Order: sequence, then structure tokens, then C-alpha cells
Amino acid sequence: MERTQVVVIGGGATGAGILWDLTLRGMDAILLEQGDVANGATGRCHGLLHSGARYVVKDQHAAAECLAENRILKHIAPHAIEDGGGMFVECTGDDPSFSAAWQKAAEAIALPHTHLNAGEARALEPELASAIRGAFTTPDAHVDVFRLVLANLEAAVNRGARYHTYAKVVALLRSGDRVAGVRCLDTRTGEVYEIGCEMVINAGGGWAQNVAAMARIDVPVRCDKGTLLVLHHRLSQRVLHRCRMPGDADILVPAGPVCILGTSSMTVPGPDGLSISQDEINALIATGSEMVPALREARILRAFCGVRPLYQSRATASRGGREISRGYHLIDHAREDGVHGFVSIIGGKLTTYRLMAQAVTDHVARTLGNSAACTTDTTPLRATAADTARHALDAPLVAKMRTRLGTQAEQLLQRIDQRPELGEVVCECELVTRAELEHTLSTENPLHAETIADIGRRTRLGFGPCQGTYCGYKAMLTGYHMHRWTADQAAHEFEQYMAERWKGQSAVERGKQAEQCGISHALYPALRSEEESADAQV
Amino acid sequence: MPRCDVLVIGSGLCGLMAARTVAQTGARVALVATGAGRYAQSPGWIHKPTTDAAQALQAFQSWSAEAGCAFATGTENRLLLPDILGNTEELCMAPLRMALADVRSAADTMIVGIEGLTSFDAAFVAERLNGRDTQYRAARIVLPCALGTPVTTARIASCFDRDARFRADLARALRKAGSGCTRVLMPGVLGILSDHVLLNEFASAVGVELGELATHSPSAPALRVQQRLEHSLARSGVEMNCGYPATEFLHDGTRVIGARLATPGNGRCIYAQTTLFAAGSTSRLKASPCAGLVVAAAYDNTADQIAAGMDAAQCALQGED
Repeated sequence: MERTQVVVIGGGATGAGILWDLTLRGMDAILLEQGDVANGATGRCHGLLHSGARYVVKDQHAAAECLAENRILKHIAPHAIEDGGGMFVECTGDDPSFSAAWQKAAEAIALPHTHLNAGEARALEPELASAIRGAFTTPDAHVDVFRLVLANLEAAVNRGARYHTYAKVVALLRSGDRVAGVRCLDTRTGEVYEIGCEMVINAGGGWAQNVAAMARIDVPVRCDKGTLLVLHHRLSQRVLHRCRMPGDADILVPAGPVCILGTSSMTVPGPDGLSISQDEINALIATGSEMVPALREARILRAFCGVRPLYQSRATASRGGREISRGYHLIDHAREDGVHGFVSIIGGKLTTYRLMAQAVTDHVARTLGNSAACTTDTTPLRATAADTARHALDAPLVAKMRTRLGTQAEQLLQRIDQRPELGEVVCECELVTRAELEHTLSTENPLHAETIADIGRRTRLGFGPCQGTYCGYKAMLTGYHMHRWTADQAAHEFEQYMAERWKGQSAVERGKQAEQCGISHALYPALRSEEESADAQV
Repeated sequence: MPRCDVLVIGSGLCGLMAARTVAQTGARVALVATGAGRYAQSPGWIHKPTTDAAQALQAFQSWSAEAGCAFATGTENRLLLPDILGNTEELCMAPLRMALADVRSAADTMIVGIEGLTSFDAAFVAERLNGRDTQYRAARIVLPCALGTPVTTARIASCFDRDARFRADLARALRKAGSGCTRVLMPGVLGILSDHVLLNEFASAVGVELGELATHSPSAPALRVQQRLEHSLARSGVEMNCGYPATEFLHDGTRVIGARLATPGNGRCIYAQTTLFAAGSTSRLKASPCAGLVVAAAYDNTADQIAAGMDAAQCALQGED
């Protein structure tokens, strides 16, 4: 039986952050994730790195935390962040007294901001509606959630940590009143194995309740669904946020060549089996276009949703999803339930994942007798790559590779110099070369992909307008060529991948995107999936 | 002002068939379209219809033969052709060269890939098809001209169209790759401007049965059919206006009397006795039937589209709106 000190259940931002923190402090750990990285809420959100501006009126403490973490993440993971800044837009019709309250609260926590009049705001962001009173600039940004999670995992793995994807925990091993390990199922091979450990950290997000139930403990998690839309093209350079009490469809985040509009809030029974209705999509567009009218005509590439796993103490059980605090809660089951060697971390936001991880790791370190202090706030997740010689590829392509791959990029660029066919751009939208594609599939790479969707999360291949129709196919052929899959496995892999891509598009098939879907369906006729739209990952 | 009898909007299978049906009666037809439509971006097959399309499909088949892009219907009146994932599709008809890739053929087959054409893998297709009775082998040829890597089906097809030397060298390479076999299947790259006469000559130069397989977009066989059919319409006097979308219907009272195109400036107006809308879901125009306007039924199925085009044309000719 494999042994370690700590098992972390859940490969979202929180779990990955915990793995890194544990490793930095010298503790041995294994992370287990039932799907691929960022399978839950982390991979299904805006990718918004908050400045705190959204919360500053309602919850100053949360806002201050966001502001601090915003700065820290920009320091430790700049390669995962598009730091374009943000704008809090005062639309006519929004409550002017909110603006005044906002400004006062922003000053109170020293949130950097400047006020622009309508003309100045629209000069910077031409797609803003003409009916605005003005705007405040803020330090909000876009973070590539997959890159962020992978950066934490990569940094941890480079220092000896281990992690497994497609590894579903099916039971907690008990030894009296202690949790002594986990039993795990490899969902791709069916193999069952056990890992012994001193501490299990439940960072399962929307599935945390299921994990806790394995120890017969009830951890109340309220699943709050949010729907988002990916639109073509990049309608703004900055994060655009409505300056009013937090509500639906008030955030637009630019993410490379596309932008993401969201979101909504509704309670759902759990993180699986979600669907998106046409009404939800129409409502998002209707509200969003009050701030950015072009959203009405923009091509919707796909719709997706995820659940916010919110901690629901008995006191807050009757309140709505937005009312429950977005704060996090660490539950020490030894104290609360008499079960030792088991803790759960519930709630929180993407922006404060590192802080959550710190809180959990502080507790676990104390319990295990480790006295190292947390240094994740100052330790960059990736060593900076020295800028070296020019290569045969275009500069933007090289820059993108360096941002995605860091020091690894140099190795791949050299390979391309030796074999120019590796410089083929397989995904035109995200500039993914054949060299990078092969690297992502190579089993020598500790972060290698198992499925085509995994490739997407590591390189953003398939995230653009074609939604994988062209590049996903080439990726499949590459996997076959590299002997990762037999021809039958490769075809099956691709069928599953396209079915998922189509699910996210079926709800938004109109105009140009309908045309794209039509092309896609004509190319792969055997794969037409059912028309109902179920949950789908970006 | 000059006016045609029928203005057809849309140059997919529906619009093309509608224009053909009207033009055959001697009526004056104008066709407008933004681009080529979905068929030209598909592999090029015609599926089994879900509606009553027998008459329309027969008319389409004789038209395509006349236009130089003949379609075949296969043994037992169906075709079983491989798609780009190696799955087999049951189809109604396909361009002749593609119909030769039927999986029921007992021929000893070599699937030939092209170096640099990374959107096609001969070994992958062969392995996928090898569950069945016939044995498929795979080979790869190097193109006789330096097109660079990677290369797309469009570039190879373009080279095929323009360069007789390229065609001769390619035939030689295929002949060599296919020696010992009775059938060679290759990705569909044999030109966009080529007609069946040229392709038959090319196939004889290769020396074995030569079939084209469906590829990823762009599909040369489908574009070839599109070109031939548009050519045929132009030769028969249809006024072809491709490149600008129709953005609004023109009205006289409640009657539709034509359409405006998004040409530079004020937008050119085309007037017609009857306007026939065959642009499906991709057009921005919202078309509902009214006086002067026939709206063809919109289908995803290619055979149904052809039948819908013929039906709409017949409505237009009878003066029904």
C-alpha cells in the first residue's frame, strides 16, 4: 500500500494550493482528483481575479482579503494572469447612492481606483453603452484558471509531491476513531488501490459533502449554480463590472480572443447533472447588453455552468445563494465530530484560494508537528525563463509558448528548430504548436493529458470559435500517432470530446455559431448528441 | 427597372436546386448568396432523405451528371462510406470518386496519405476499417512539388487544378504506392475546378480504381460539386451574384418585390416577380411566407434540402406565395 503524510482530495484551486503549501513546508502529500484538474467550480467560473471592488460595500473584510491576494497572485503567478485592469461602470438607472457608498468603502480599504467620466470611460472601452454616467478603474484581472491550478501542481510535483487525476476516492479507511487512509478507484482503468496517511484533507468543493459522508459526517454544502456565456470576440480590454449591488450578468471578463459574461445564481441539489435553459441565456444577454450593447449581436460560442459550493451553517440555511457568505470554513472533524486525521475546507472564492490553502495547511502542520511557516505568498510558482535566442517561429507564437510553458518552452523551441514540422500551428485561435501538443500528450511530462479535453485545459486548444472541430481532430490524430491510443480508442476519445463540446453549444446555436455547429455536425455525423443541453466544461 | 422572374436567395443545395428547377422552364432567374453554403463545407455526401425526395434526387442526379460532377448511388441503391473518424455512414449518393470508397467493395485496398497533410492519417483510417472483411493497408506519399508543411487539402487541390506536371507526377506516385492493390483510396484533394473527364483521365494514369475519402474542411470534392453546379447555372443564363448577403426584402405595400444586397454604397436592389428564400438558418433575414415571397423549408438533411429546393421552385412557378 502506498503511504504518504497527507492525502488531499480535490484538484481545484484549493486542493492544488494546499498541495503546494504542504510541499513547500516539507510535508509529503498526494492529491487525488476524480476528473481532470479544475473539474469543479474552479474550471467553471469567470476566471476573474477580484480586486475586492465587487464586495467592498457589502463585506469590507472579504474585499480587503481579495485585494491582498490579488497583489500576491500577480506576484507569484504572473504568467497565468492577464492584468488588463477593471472598470466599475455606473450605468444610468443604477442607484447613484451606491456609487458614493462604493467610493467611500474603496477608500477605506485603500483599493486603488480613479474616477472617469462617461467620455473618458468610453474612450478606453468603446463598447460601453452610451447611457453611462462614468466609471471607476480597479485592479481586477483575468486569470487562466487551468494555468493557475497546473502551476501549483507543477511546482509541487517538481518538489516531490504526487497527484493523480481520474482518481475517485470511494472510501475512507478507518482505524478506530482515526481516518488512516483512502481507497481510490482509477476511473479509466477500473483499478482500485489504497493509500495510507496521517491526515486526509477534504477539498472536494461541490462534492465535499459526499466525501465527508464517507466518514458518516454531515458537512452542509449548498450548491449554487451560476451560468456563464463565452462570446466571440474580445469585446473589452478590461474586466467590466456593473457598479451596483452584486446581481446577475454584471461581469464581463476578457479572456484571450473571447470574453466571458456572467453570471446567475440559483440553488441546485448537487454539482452533477446540471442543465442550462434558453431563458437563462436570454436573461444574461438582456442584462449584460445594458452595459455592453454589442453583447446582443455577439456570437455566443458556448454556454457553461458550475456550482459555487457554499458553506451553509444552520443559521444561514434559509437565506438565498447570494446572501450566504462567500467566506471559507475549515472544519476540524477531530473537534467537531470526534474523527481524527480528517479536515474539510468548504466555500471560498477562486481569488482567495491561496489564503484558504494557507489556513488549512497551518492547521494540518500544527497537528502533524511541522513548524515551518507559510511562504506561498512570496514564492513564485514558476522560475522565470531567461530570454534566449530568436527562433524560426513568429514572435507572438513564441511569446505565447513562453507564457504557457515557462522554462519548458526553450526545449520545445529547440525541437522546432531541428524539426520545422513541429512548428505547425494546430490550434489557430490559441496558437498551439504541434511541438506543444506532443509535449502535452507525452507520458514523460508529469502534467500530461489523458483526454483531448485535458489537452484543452493545458493549452486552451479548442476554446475558440471552432470549439475543437478542427484542432481537436488533429489532437486526436496526434495521440494516435504517439501510440497513446489505438485507432478505436482515439475515435472513441474524440467522440466523447465532441459530445461535450456540442453540449455547451446546443443551447446557443444561433447565427454564426449555428453555422459552425452545422459544419461540425456534418463532419462527424455519427456523433450527433441529444439536443438537450446538460452541463459542460469550458 | 430590369426585373427577373424569380430571385433565389441562398446557394446551398436548396437554393441551387431551386434555381435550376426554375431556369429549366426558361424563366429569368437571379441567384444571390453570401458564400457557398453548408454543403460546400461538408464532406460532400447526400444523405438518405427523411422526406419524399425521390423525384428531386433523380433530377439532381441527372443535373450533376450534365454539369460534370456525376453522383453515384451505389449497390442496392445505397452507399457505405467511411467518415473522417473511420465510422461508416449509410448514404443515398455521393460524388463518383467518393462513391468508389464503399466499404462493401471486395477490392484489395491501399489507403494513401500525403506527407504534410496532417489532417489525414492513412494508418488511422486503415486500422479503423480493418474490423471488417476487407484488408486495408496504409501508405504515405511525398508530394511532387514543394508546398511546405503543413499543407491543407485546399492547397493541394489548387496545385492539382493549375499544374499538369503536378498531376502527372502525383499519378505516378499513387501508381507506385498502389502497386499490388486493386483500389487506391486517398483524401479528397483532386482539384476543385476538375470535372469528371479530367478525373477519369487522371484515374487511368494511376492505373487502379481510385477513390476519394472524406476529409476535414475544406472538402475538395464538395467544393468541386459546388463549382460545377454554379457553373452550370451560369451557363444556362442564371444571373449569379455571389459574395454579398441579402440584408432586407423590398416591399411594395405588403408584397415582396425583391431584395437589397449589402454591396458597398447604398446596397444594390434586385427586383423579382417572386422571391424565393432558400438561405436557411444562417441568414440574418427573417423570412415568413407572404405575397411575393416563397420560403423553402429548412432542413439539416442534404437530400431533404434538394427536395425542398425543388418544391419551393414549383411553388414560385405556380405563382403561389
